[in-house]
Amino acid sequence: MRRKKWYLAPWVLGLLVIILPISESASSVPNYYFNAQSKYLGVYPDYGNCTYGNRSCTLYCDKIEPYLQAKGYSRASKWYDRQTSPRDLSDDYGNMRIWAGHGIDYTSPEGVRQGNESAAHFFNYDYNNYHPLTDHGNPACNVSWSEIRWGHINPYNDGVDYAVMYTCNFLNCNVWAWGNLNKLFQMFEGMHLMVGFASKMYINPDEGAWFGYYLQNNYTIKNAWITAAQKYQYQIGTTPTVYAAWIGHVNHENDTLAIHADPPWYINTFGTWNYAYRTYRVAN
Amino acid sequence: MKKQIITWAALSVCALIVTGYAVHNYYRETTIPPLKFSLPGEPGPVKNFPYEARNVGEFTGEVDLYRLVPKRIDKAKFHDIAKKFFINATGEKYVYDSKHGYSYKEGNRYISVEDGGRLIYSIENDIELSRKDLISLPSDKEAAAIATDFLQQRGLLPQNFYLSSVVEGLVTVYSDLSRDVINKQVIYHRKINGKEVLGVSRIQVDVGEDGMIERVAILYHDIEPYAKKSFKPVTMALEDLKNEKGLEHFGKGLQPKKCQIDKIELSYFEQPEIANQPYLYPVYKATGKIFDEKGDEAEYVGIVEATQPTNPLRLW
Repeated sequence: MRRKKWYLAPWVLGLLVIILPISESASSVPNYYFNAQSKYLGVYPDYGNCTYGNRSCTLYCDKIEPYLQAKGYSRASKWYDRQTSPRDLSDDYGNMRIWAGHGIDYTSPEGVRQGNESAAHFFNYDYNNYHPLTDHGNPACNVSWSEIRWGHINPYNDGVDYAVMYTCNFLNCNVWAWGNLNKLFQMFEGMHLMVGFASKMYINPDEGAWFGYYLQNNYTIKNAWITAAQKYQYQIGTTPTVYAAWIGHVNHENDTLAIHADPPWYINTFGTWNYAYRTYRVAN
Repeated sequence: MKKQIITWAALSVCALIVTGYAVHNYYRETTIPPLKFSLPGEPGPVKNFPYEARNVGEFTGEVDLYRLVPKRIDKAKFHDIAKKFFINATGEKYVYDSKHGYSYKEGNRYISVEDGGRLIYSIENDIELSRKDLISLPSDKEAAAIATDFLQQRGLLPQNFYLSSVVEGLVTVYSDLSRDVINKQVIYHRKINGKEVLGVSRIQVDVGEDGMIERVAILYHDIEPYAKKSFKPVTMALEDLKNEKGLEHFGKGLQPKKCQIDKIELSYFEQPEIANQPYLYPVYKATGKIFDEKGDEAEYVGIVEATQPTNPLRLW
């Protein structure tokens, strides 16, 4: 009788081989996922061919990285320039998602083409194809609010908890634009907090170093965000004002990186939002 | 004969000193790195339109360029500053590194003081996710008085800063489109020789419910005169703007066919990084309008370095 149990051993071992890596990757070690584009205007086809112009966005991410690692975060992925595409940004991996690059406003002609939504702008449609100079507004090279649904638990990690959108306009939501706030809230399907800007902003990689530094020193994520932004964003003596902004679930608005609880699993429906949308004037 | 030698030697030494001083000045003034702006993260228009400026005048002669002077904060100074914000950071209750200076968190209060002296203090109060209609915020005038009093009592409001505006600081927007103002922000801007300082040079104080000071940002460096620089001709400055060497703001919603500059003022610009751009740069601030092909217009602001990269060699 006992010999028959040995017969099961290979099956048990096989199951362990399958299960262990999954449980390891879904462990409590949090990770981060960078998507950033700097070389918008370069020598085609090595980089983009986008008249929006180069910005030092990849360096911004690089400057945050050591602080996240000091805080116990590990790198999930780091995709820069032509290595990243709109599809990468809209996927649901990494506990902390960071996008740095150009952002278009929902009121701009390009935003209108996204269904009146603000969007993160890419110089490419995918890894090999770049948009021509006349096609900035093509939805295939922009990731708009409706394309993001972050926070799902999946076999590879426990869902996006925090999102950092270091770009113009992504959290721009004027109160007169009915429905926009709901579109922003619909991005949250378990995510705790998203920080960004509700206006034009100015890209400076050193702001990333300060943001990371404050995160490492147990500032709440939103306070780290506005403190770094307040140091770096310009006033030019007239409009535009620079507004930092964040959206946080009511239980997680004051999260620090020291807190890493699994996100609540829920999908919100209209009228039952438990989120705060705040804007803060960082430069005027 | 001996007298002649002494006279000639003395004259030679004087000439050497004068020449050395001139060369020293020349190199000092011409090795200042150009002003490098952070650029906006949103697209601007395609620059295929002319920039026109009429009757905006010309700036002649030279202008003072200042050097930023770090305050050199040590442990004792940090403790003194923290005390001004009711934080007792004595002992080893702080974080320090040479890149970021001192930082300390006590409960829901935070203070961060850079080695150069810039500081941000903040309190984080839990804000209920509900209507705050009954919040007892001070009026704009009261908020300004509270903030000014707070800064003056602590010696944190230098004379060259002036009360610029009182605006909404932290705002909550609700899905029914209503909004609540959580605090008011009192903003102080700086003038040097009567000229406005742009960039990051500012003091901001957030005054919340019942006059509570919720946040103070002191974001400027002390300065000292460093060099005199020759003005750049306005035509050259406009070319620089057109060639993306400045910082520009175009009103939204139209593709310009023309940019019309109505006014050019001299201002100064302070950068956040004392390590890379340790100067208070003179800049031209150009304001005007852009027009599209239908004649619709929107605002325009352009900021560009106001001085020539090199100065003539001079003996004074």
